[in-house]
Amino acid sequence: MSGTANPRSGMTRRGFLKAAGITAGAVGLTGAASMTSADSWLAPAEAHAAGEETSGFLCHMQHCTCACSVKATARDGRLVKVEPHKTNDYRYGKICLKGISEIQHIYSADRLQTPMKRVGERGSGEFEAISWDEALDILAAEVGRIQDAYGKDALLITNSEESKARYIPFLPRILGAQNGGLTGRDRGQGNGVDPAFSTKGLNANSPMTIWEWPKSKTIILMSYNMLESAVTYAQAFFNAQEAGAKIYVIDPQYSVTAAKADEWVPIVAGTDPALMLAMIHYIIDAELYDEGFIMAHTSLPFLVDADSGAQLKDAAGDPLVWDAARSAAVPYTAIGADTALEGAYEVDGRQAVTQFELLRSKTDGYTLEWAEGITDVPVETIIRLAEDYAEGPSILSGSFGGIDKFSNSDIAGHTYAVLAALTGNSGYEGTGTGKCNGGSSTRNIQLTPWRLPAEYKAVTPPVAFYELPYKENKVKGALFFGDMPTQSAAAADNTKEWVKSLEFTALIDIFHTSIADYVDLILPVCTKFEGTEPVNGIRSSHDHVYLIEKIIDPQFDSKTDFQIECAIAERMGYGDLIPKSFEEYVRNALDSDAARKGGITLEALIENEGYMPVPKANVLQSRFRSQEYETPTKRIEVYYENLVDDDQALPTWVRADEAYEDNPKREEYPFFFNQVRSRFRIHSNFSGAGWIQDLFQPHISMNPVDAERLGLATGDDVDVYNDRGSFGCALVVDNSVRPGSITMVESTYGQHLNHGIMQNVTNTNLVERQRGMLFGPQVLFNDTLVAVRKA
Amino acid sequence: MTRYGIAIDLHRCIGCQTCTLACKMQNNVPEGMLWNRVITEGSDILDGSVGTYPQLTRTYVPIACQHCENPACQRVCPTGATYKDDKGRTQIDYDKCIGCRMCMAACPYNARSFNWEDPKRDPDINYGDKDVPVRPRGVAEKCTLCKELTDKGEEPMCVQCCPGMARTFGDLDDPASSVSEKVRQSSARVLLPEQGTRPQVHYYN
Repeated sequence: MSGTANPRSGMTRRGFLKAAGITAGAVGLTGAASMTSADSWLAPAEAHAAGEETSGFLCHMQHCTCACSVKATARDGRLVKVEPHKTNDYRYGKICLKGISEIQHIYSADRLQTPMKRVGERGSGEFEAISWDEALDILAAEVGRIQDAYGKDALLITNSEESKARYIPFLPRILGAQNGGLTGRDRGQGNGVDPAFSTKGLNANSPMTIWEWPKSKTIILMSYNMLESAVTYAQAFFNAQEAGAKIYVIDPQYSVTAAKADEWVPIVAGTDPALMLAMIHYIIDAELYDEGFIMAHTSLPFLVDADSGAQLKDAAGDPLVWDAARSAAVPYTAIGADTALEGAYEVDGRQAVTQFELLRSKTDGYTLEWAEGITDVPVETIIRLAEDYAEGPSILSGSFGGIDKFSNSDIAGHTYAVLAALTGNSGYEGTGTGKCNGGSSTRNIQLTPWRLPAEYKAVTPPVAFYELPYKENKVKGALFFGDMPTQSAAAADNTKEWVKSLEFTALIDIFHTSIADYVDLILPVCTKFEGTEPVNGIRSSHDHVYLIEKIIDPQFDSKTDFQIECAIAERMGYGDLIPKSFEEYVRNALDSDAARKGGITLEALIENEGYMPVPKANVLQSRFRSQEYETPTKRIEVYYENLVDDDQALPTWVRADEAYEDNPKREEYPFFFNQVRSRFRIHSNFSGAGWIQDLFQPHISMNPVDAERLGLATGDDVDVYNDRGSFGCALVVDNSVRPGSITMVESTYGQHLNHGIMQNVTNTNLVERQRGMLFGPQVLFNDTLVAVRKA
Repeated sequence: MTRYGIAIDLHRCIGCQTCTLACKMQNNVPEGMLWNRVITEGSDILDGSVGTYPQLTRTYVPIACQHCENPACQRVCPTGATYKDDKGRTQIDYDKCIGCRMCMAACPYNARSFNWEDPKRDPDINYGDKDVPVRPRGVAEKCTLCKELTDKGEEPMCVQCCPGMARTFGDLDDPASSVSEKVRQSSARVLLPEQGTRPQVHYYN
C-alpha cells in the first residue's frame, strides 16, 4: 500500500509557511502556556482512531445556521479529513463543501500567521512581524491608556460570529468595554414580526423548525435561498416536497432554491410588502380568513379608538371587544359567540372600530391590480398564493436576505404576522411565521457565562456600530475580534476612515479580512480545528450541546481566541478573574440545573463523541402549539399602537428608500444592487479557501439584456459605483439575474477584488421609524442603486 | 455477482459541489484535477440558467466515471491496466498504466485525468483516506467508486456527504437494493446511451 507516501519534496508556498510557523510558534505566549496544561484532562480524542491517525468531533459552522456535527482526522499533525459525523440522527451529522474545504482553508494564503504591528500609514497595509510578548505589551499599554484617559467604555470590543463560535467571550466584561448592541442586519422582517408574537429571544426566527415542513401544504420562502445559504437544510426542503408540500420562492433572482421550488415568483426587489398587502386584501375580500381562530387567538376583534388609534382598555388594562348582544364594550377575556369581529361602535362617546375592520379599510385599496403594478407579480399568481396560503397548513418564511435589506423590511414582517393571524397559520403543526431553522433557536440549556464579580460588566453601545462614523460617540479605541466592521455598516469607506481616526485599533482574526490593513495591531487566531487542550469549544444550539475537540495543534504562530482573551486580561492585571484552563471554562458553562437534569457533563459529552441532544429543547414551540403566545393577552397581537404616528399600527405600503423603479436617481445609477448569499461563503468567511476558489471567483452578475446594452461580456473587469464609493471585479453575464439589477455574492476580502469592497456602495440612510423597534434600524444593504462601467 | 452503481436524483441535486470536494479530499486528488464535477446543463457558466428571464430552467448534473458495464476505456487499454473488478467497478491498475491516454480519448464522459507532472497538492500533503494509493506521474486516474470505502461496506464519500441526499449507492445486481429500486421505479436514464457503454451510474428526476 502506497497511500502514506511522504509529502512531495517540491514545497508550495503554503507548505513553507507552515514550516516557518512551527518555529515561530516557539516564541509562545508565556502567560497562556501555563494555564492550558492538557495533562490533567480526560481521555483524549485520539481514542477514536487507531494507528498514526487521530480523530475528533466538532460543530463546524453555526453561522450558516446548519451547525454540522463533523468528524475530523489528522495525520502527522495535519488535518487530512473532515466528514459527516455518523450520528444516530441524520439531520445533524452533515457536511457541505465549506466543511471539506477546511483541509486547505486552514493553510490559506490569507491566513494571519504571526502578530504584526503597523509600520506604515494607517490603511497602507504595511506591517512587521513581532512577538506575542511585544504585541500584548502594545495592546495592554494602549488599551490601558485609553481607558484611563477617557473611561472604560471608550474601548469598543466587537465580536464577529466566528469569534463567538467556540465559547462566550468574557474579555468585554472584564474590561468594562462597549460590546454587543444593535447589529443593523438580518432582523428587518423580525422587527415587524416580533411584536405580534413577542418572542424576543428568538432573534426573529420562528420556533417552528424545518423538520416539520413535511406537515405543511404550502411553504412560501421570501427571497430565502436556503439551498445555498444553509446547504444541509436541503434534506428538509426535499422531504417536504416529497410529502406533498408546495414550495413557492418569491425572489427577484432565479436562485438555486427558486430553481428547485414548485413555483418561482419573480418580483421587483423591495416590493414584497405590496404583494403581501394584496394577499391580505384578497383573503379578507374572498372571506378566506379563519374566523374561529381570529376570535380565539388574535387581537383582531379588539377595539381601537378611530380618532386617536389608541386601543380601548378597561381599568385593569385589558383590551376591550364589542359584545353585540349586550351592545357594550367588554374585556377581551369575555370573548364569546356574541363578540363582534367587524364594525364601528360608540363606546363612552368615542368612535371605536375593531382591528379587523381597520385592517379591512386599510387594505381596501391594496387590490390585486395595484399590487401587480408595483411588484410585477400577475394577479392570478397573487390569488393562487393567497388561496394556497389561507388553506394551510402553511409556512411563511422570511430570510436574512432580499426584502430584509430594504427600508420597508419591518412592514414586510408585519404583513406576515397579519397573514398568520387571519388564516390561523400559527402554532399548529406545519405552520410557522419567520425564518425556520434546523433546531430550536431558544436554548433550553443556556451555557453559564464565565463567572465574574458583579462589577465586571460590558456596556451596551449607546451608538450602534453602523452609526459610529456619523454620530458623536465615546469610542477612542477598538478591539475587533473578527472583521465585523467592513461587513456590518454601509459605505465602507466611511467605516475605514472612522477606524483610522481612532487612537488605537487591533484586529484579532484568523484571516486577512478586509479591515486588517486599517488597524494598528494584528493578533492571529487559530481555526476551530486547532487548540491546546483536548476540548477547545462548547456550543449550545440546534437542540444540542456540541463540543469542539482539538484536532491539531495551533498552526503558524496563532493562538485560540480563548488564549488571547486570557493573555490580554492577564497583561492588564486581571489574571485572577480568568479561567485557569478551557476545561475550567467548560465545567463552569455546564454548571446549571438544566445541564445536570439532561445529564450533560464534560465527561458525558466526550463519551458521546462531543454531541448530545438537549431534552425537551423547544419549549417555545410547545407553547405555540397550545396557542399561547408571549404577548400580554397571550394572543397574536397584530396592532402596533406605538406606530400610530407612522401610520404603521397596521401595515401600510411604503416604497423602498432608494432602490425603487421610478427613482430619478436611476438615470445616473440604474441598477438595483442585489447582495445574495451563496454556498461558497458565510459572509466573507471562506473567501480565502483555495478549494472553493477553484469553483467560484467573486464577480457581479448581470442579465444579458443589460450587458448587451452596455457592451459588456463575461470575463470583463468592471467598476461598480455610486456617489458613496466603488469597487471593481469581474462580470458574469447570467440570465438568472432580473434585468435592471446586478447580483453579487456576499462577501469577499478586498484583496480578491480588483479594488474596493462591495459595501463601499451601500446606502447609508436609516429608517427613523425603526428606532423604537426591537432590532433597531437596519442597514439598507440591498436598497442601493449603482452604475456599472467597463474598467 | 456484485455490480456496484449509483443512482442520482437530479431534482435533489442542488449543484453545491459538496460531492466534488468530498471526492477530492477522500481520494487525495491533486490540483488541476477533479474525479467528480457538477456541470450546469446547457450553460457555460456556473449556476447559469437556460431560457430568458423569467422563463428559466436550471439542471445540475454531477459527472464522474460512469463505471460502465461495457467500458470504452477498457476496450482500448493496451496493457490491461483498466479492468472491471469483482464488484463491477471500473478500475485502473496504476502499475500497469503506461500513460498512453487511449482511455482518455475513448471515454465519452471525459471522466479521466492524467498526471502530466508530479502531482501537486494544496496543502502539500497526502490528504484523505490513507489507504488510497498515491498516483505517480504518467498515469491516468479517475473515480474508483471509493474502492477503499466500498470494500469495507461503507458508502462512497460523495454519497456520504451529499447534503440533498440525492445519491443512492448499492448493488445493481441485487433487485432488493435501494439503488435497484430507484433505477426501476423512476424515470432513470443513463448518459449517452447511444455509446453502448451501459453506465452503472443512473440519473432520475
